[in-house]
Amino acid sequence: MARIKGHMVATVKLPCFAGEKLLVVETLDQTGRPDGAELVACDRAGAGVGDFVLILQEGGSCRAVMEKAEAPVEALVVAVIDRINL
Amino acid sequence: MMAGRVIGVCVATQKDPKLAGRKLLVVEPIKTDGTPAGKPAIAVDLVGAGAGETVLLAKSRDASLAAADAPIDLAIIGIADALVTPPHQPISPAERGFRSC
Repeated sequence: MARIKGHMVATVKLPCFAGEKLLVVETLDQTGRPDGAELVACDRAGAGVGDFVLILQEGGSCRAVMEKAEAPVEALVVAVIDRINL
Repeated sequence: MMAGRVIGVCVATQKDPKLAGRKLLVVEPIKTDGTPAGKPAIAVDLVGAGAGETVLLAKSRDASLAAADAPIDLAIIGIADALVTPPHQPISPAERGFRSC
């Protein structure tokens, strides 16, 4: 679980990242507050700044979802969270 | 993946043949506000980054994938022109629907 903090503009990047939106996300603890870590993830859910999202943080799974076998992707935004009931 | 800043160059003559011709740079992981987010490390440059630039980094297996399975632990896979973090009103978890019983 994470929150979108911003995005990265990168003109020069590996060809496999062409057309991919790069989002800066901060990961959250179980109460929904930032835990201090930030990472960059590709977007698969159309997420925007401020959105709470689900991120996939396993390279092999990310490559399978993106259908790019050689992409060095480590994190992927796969869903935008509407609500969580505990 | 994470953002980083190039803070130096590493020169190594003797290295694994798969690293031949690769530029080694010293990078420091950073947060969006520019503060360091970890210890500096040596990264293999795959895109032609230079000193002082903000870059996109990939770690471990994902890094080596980008360079034909060379023994790479950290790779520079993009050069960031900007890290855009628009100002926003902090939204409390409760407002966004995070509730606890």
